[in-house]
Amino acid sequence: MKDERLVLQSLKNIRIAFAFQTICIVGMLIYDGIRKGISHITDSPLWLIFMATCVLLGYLNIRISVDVQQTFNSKKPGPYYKTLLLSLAVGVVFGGITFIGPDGTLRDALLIGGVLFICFLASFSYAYYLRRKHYEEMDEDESI
Amino acid sequence: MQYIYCIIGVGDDMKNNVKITRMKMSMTQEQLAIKVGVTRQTIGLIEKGEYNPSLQLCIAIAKTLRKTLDELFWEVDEL
Repeated sequence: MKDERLVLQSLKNIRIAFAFQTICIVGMLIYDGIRKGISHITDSPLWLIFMATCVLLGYLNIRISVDVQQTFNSKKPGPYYKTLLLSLAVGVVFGGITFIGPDGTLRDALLIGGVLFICFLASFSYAYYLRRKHYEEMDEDESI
Repeated sequence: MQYIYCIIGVGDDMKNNVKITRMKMSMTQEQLAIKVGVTRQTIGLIEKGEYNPSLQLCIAIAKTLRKTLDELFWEVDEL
């Protein structure tokens, strides 16, 4: 399909279908939760699809966020170790909260802290890579 | 600067000279559509100002009708 108007229309249709699909998945999860109990929601494969889709959408939207942010603040991105330290801080804080909380074991604390550290590091690193790439792509006279 | 209006648009009912120019060249909507690689309906909507074409399509139409972008799409304020 070469016609740009039809391509745009097709994308709008996909957006509507996606919204409908998401509403259906959420509805089915809520129905499952009411019928069998809240804990059954996370056991369902639909939950995995729903969460994976949310994560994917989040990652795709990072590009938009970086573009918007750089339009208003086109400063050079800081050093990468700050990103690393911030992710580590998030992991340590949440690991600490898990350890201090009721039934908190060292294993759980390490697991939660590690997972959060990796999740934050991955998303922050991607945002950092985009910011750096966009900054380098800027015209020399704009990056002063 | 003259090309920016193609991307950002100049309102929902953008006036343009595509229809007049096309008719002066004795060209049908279908012929123009085939030459620029879109459907006839898209050309119709552009002429009516109901679809805001991309810069790439604006240039393709301008080249096909042998006019500049200004001559085809630039809005003139009516006093």
